[in-house]
Amino acid sequence: MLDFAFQRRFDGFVLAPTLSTDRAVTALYGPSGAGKSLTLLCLVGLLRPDRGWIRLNGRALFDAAAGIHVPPHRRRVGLVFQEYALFPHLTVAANLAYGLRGLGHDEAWGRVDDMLRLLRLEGFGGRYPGDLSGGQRQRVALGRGLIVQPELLLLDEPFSALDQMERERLRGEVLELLQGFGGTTVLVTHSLQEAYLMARRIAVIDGGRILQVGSRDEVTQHPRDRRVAEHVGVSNIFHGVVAPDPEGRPGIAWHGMRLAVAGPLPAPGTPVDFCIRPEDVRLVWPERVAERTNVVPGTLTAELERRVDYLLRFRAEGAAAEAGEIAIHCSGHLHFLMKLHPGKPAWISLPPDKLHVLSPAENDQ
Amino acid sequence: MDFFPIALSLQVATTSTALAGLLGVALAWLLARGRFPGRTFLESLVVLPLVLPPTVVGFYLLLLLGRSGPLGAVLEAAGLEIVFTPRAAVIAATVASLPLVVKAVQAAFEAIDPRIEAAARTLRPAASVFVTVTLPLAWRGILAGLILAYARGLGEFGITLMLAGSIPGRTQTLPLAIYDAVQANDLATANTLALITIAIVAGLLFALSRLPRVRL
Repeated sequence: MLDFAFQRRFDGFVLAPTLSTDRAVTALYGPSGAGKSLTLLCLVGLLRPDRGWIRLNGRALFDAAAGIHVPPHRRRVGLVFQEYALFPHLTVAANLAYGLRGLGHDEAWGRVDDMLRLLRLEGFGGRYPGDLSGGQRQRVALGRGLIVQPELLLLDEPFSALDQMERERLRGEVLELLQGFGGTTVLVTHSLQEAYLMARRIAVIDGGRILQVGSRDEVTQHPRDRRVAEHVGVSNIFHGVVAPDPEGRPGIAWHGMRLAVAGPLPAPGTPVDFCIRPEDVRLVWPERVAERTNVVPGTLTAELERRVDYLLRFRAEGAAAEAGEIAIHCSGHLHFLMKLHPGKPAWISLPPDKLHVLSPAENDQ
Repeated sequence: MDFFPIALSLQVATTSTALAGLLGVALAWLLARGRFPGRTFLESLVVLPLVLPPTVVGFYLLLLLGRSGPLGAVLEAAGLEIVFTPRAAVIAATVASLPLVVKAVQAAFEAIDPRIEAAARTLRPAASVFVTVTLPLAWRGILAGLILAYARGLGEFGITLMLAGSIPGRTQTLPLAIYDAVQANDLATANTLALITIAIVAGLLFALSRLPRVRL
């Protein structure tokens, strides 16, 4: 369990993240410059926050009020950097043994042997980091952090230095290695795909603040506000006004239409942002238009053929250019059957249960 | 022929290199990693002996360390005579070679990926990280700085002359002895001493070129 709420001022930037994690892998996801790495440096103790506290399994690592600032090597926090940051002048075995100084010789080398086996690097103990492949170095870096049995493991963009093939293989390997690790893991990444793949929980950070924390599906399907929605790749974000239908069922007025919405809504008349993921937008066959809800007529304006699917742009009828643009993912098969092409009139349906209403962005101060 | 200047110069260069080494590594660390007010000023101050005429540096050291100087008076009271003693030659050589050490070591420290030290800091206390990671990764730069410092200490002329004088058998170092010999038209002695100087410095430069590279 890692809990923190602290603040640190830099020139022109205030870092003020608040987070509470469980034992599962939590991804700290955000664009570069969001404050991800600075947060890690504070957690590890290399930067000292101005205010607040950091607790690991109930133990105070930092507490401004109580004047506690535990030095990095006493925090039981492991740190694995992008580009690995191995000690180039030490052998693989000596890299692994670096944090085992307090142990006896036999115990330390026993643990190094065990770790080499776990990392599938038996026989590599005498090599230098310069002799290893990117993947092997990554494993040594992970092993160097894990061998001291930390309570918290911090991974700072651990895969960004690898090529695509190796990255995918290594993500699997790292997850496997982490299974045997009983502590808390925080993975810093600027890739949503990586966050989703590696972590059960995602914390979205930007501008030095954690914008939303939740299960990976919660965050990607139900972003709390417009900023989170933009970060988790919900490209269709619209602005409308709450307007229930005559029977009082929830709905949103948008471009002269009333869209039915499944979830609860603020009071009628309230302006709201709402969104839908491109893959949740349905294309409707012309003869089925009457059977669907929230059908929007319009025109396909552009298409981008990808390997197995299409990314289409659609403009709602009567809508202004920007505000009425909707991105749609559609399978190559459907694209073929419906004979879609830019300029073709089409109908889409926005399923009420997929329309997600965003809260006003409270972090925009 | 008098071999005293050779012995004195070797002694002076060895001592001044040790002093400039200790002081230089500490200053280089401060300048490479420290963020404090006056950092730029300190950096300029350290390089000053490299760009100022040695006589100017020597003149102000003389004012500072002379019997009536602010520091000299204190040292004199403590029974430590500086000016026109071999100690003055050591101070002159140290001041002259300090910038060389600082510049070389600072560059070596700055070339170390700070993340390597950060990772090390999570595993060991700061002092241990400095000794086991920072120094070994910078050792080539440190050694280069020390060799340059030794050569500079050996060849120091201007500051030494101002601060230590050129007292034969007491403060007359190799370069001063060469100058003296030329003044006395004793070209054979001047030549011998010059050749010995060249041999020592050439040996040092050869050693510098043979330093193995750190494997990365």
